[in-house]
Amino acid sequence: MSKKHVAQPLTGKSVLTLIRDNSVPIMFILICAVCIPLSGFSPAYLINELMTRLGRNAFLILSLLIPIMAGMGLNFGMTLGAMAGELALIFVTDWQIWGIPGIILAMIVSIPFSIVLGLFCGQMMNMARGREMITSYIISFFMNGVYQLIVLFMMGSIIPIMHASVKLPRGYGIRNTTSLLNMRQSLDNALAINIGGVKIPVLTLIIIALLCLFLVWFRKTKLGQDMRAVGQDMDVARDAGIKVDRTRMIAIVMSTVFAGFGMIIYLQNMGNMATYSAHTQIGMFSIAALLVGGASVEKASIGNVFLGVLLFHTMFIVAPTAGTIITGDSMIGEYFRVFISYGVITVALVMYETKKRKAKSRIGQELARAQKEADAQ
Amino acid sequence: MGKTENIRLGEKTKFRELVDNFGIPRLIITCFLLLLFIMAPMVGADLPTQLTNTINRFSWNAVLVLAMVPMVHSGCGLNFGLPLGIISGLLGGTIAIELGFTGGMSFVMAILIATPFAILFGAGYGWLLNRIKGGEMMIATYVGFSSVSFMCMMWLLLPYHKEDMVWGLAGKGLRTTISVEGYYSNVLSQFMQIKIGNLVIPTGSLLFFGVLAFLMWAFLHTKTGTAMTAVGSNPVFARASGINIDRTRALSVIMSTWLAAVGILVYQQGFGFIQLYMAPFNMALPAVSAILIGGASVNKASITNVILGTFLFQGIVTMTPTVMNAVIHTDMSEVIRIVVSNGMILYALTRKTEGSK
Amino acid sequence: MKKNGTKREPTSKRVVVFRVAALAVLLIVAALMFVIGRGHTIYPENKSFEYEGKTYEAPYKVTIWDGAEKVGKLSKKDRGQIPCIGQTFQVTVDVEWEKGGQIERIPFTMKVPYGMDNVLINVPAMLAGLPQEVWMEEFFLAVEEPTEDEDVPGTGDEFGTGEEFGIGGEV
Repeated sequence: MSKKHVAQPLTGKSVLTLIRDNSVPIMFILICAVCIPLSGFSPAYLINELMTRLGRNAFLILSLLIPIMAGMGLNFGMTLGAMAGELALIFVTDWQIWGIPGIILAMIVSIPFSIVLGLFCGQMMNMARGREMITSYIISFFMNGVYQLIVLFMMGSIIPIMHASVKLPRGYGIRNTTSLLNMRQSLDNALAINIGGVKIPVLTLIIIALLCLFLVWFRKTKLGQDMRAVGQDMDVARDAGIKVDRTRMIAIVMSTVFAGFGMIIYLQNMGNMATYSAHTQIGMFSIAALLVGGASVEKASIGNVFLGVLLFHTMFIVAPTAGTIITGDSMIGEYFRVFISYGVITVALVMYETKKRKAKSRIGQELARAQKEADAQ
Repeated sequence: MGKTENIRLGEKTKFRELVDNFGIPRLIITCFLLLLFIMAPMVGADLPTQLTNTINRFSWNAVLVLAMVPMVHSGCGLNFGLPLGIISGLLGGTIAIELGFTGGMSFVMAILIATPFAILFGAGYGWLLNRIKGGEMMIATYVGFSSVSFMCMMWLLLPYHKEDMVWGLAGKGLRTTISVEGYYSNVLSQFMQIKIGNLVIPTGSLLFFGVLAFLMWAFLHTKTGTAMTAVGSNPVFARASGINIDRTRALSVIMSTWLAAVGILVYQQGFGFIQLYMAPFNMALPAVSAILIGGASVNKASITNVILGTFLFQGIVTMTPTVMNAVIHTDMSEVIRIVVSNGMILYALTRKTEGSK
Repeated sequence: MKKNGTKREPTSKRVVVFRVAALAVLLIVAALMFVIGRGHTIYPENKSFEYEGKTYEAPYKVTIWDGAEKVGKLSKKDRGQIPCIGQTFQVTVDVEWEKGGQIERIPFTMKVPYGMDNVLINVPAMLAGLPQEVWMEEFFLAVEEPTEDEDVPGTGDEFGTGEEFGIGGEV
């Protein structure tokens, strides 16, 4: 999003490159363009839905930006942050703290959980150098098991939970659905404005804007610059005296903490929490949305986040209805949007790896040429 | 005096070496399983029945785990894209039933029909992996997921008509689970079954796996097989010896995909049902985890790993619920399964390997 | 393997002070939230009340206002439900003693004890000016059984990837 255009004739080749680089968003625009009229939803309905989803998801997706900056790829471990947020919410609900104070308290409580989980994730990723993405992917499943261990077995028995309405009938373990009724939409409703049937959650948007400002400022700090250097080239950064492992660890911890906050914002909008499954889908959908916005495994900007939310969620809303109309089967649209989500991630990963290999082979060729010239002398 | 000290020192290192080679996590898991087996009769579980269950589950899953071997050898890493092969098998099975074959013949036809699909998908998948050397595992996972969700749409749209398979009301679109009773249910496991009291050994299935395992072992010792291993362990040497790396890797992917197709058919004949739609999603990770538990690593896998790993993994899966339920009166088996399996994969991914990518 | 630099520079005093201060701020805010965010549900009940031999009759209708918003309307024997965040419950009560009679507007403020989740208030007793402990008591709700519940979530998938599907899930 920072292309400075020198006045250049729009050659065929440069248009082609533009299309290829932005193929995923363009493809999505086409899909939406086809499906929106098919689905029959009114613009007012769509805009309202999108506004809600923007407020709900943007924070989570923004948390993915820092690890990409630090060269660690797509942080599938953001699920860990989501789990930290959920743990905090379970406690705050049990302590009966309602409304916005409850949300603030949950965010504060989630911080130590996020830090611990983030440190674990970062440590594992540092140990699996070169395989960070699949490692973070497996970590999220592994941690899901640990989370279940804590929430299904230890809460209520070893960890004191006061209210029986939160626990399972058997006396320990948290119920499948945790009601967040008492803080439902507190953030959204606080300064909400209604314009022509569209509810705008002003406070939530302000918080999202604050995070964006923070990210912009962070890139310019020394730590931010260190991360970018590590992201560009780990060896060069190490030679320059940057503590690579520590920087990467900090990147993951920050991302996890933000993911925790984001999950709390997400859940306060939903109003209730599927205790054992809320966090499992969120990672995949957030990453898909980011990629749809034009981000890649090694480069992502704030613009990608918002464009991604817009395109991805529009598709998400209209696909099921459009699918039903095209094929007459209601499930087709649902499967279609899952397929698209996974497909988008696959395409992004393939593009990333092919580019990496091309860069490597180009460096190799240049080295070989330099060697030949040196030999010739 | 000095000599006895030296001997003791030598023995100690050899023991340490054995332990290190076997791996601490593997040791823990084996001991855990032994503990479960010992405790089973004490809590009232019938040991022969439990053993039968374990061996049964072993026979269902072993071929799927075997499918991991070719790609590990050729350096493509752990085949997280197993669902692609599974889909070939699903297509083979459903089409065989659709065409009207029953009994043992349906099993044979299923394999025959699945084969061209497996070769086609495997070739495409292999081509893709060749272009992205170094990032195979992550992309494999997502290729697997994308294809499963794509097939979800296809299962609804493809022209299947057999009553046993489609939804009753609409008359089109396959059901989520299809019973293979009357088709190839237990075709292998009842072949030459051995019954000793409560212990039932599905000899047919074990023989089938044995044949495939033997063929794999034999293949790995042929010229092409050794070339495959060379490509994985020492690509520079392989290229210098004139081996076509891309072709060999593609071959390993096709083999792996085909074995996965056969593997899911073996699983279905034991389990009794064809599971469509989202079921193949979950099937790569258990196989990956099993072979890792058996001693394999990201770039090293042998048949022994397959046998040992599948047995240990399925043993834990079978025994934990029964024993745990009786002892703690809680069903923690789910959580333990998740932690153990994923923990094993995590351990393998974070190990420093020789010649790592 | 882990150490990248040769020697860790001693953490400067400024950084330590900054970290401690940040932690202190977080703890203070958290404690504050604990207090101002404590939620209670107040159940005002318009039932006649017996105390020390005297019977306090319930008025015909009681309307409770929180500012401009009507939060409760109680006929005889009705029980209302009003959420309250924070330790102070402040409302205006419009009392209509007899049907068609004059409406008495009474402001009402009460300090809610921190430990009580649900508080039952007997309106006639409160209106009569009796001490707080008489007309206020803790209220225990019957725990509702969960509507649809499986004991162990993650029904039998081997890997807990069950909900990764996204089918029918909302984002």
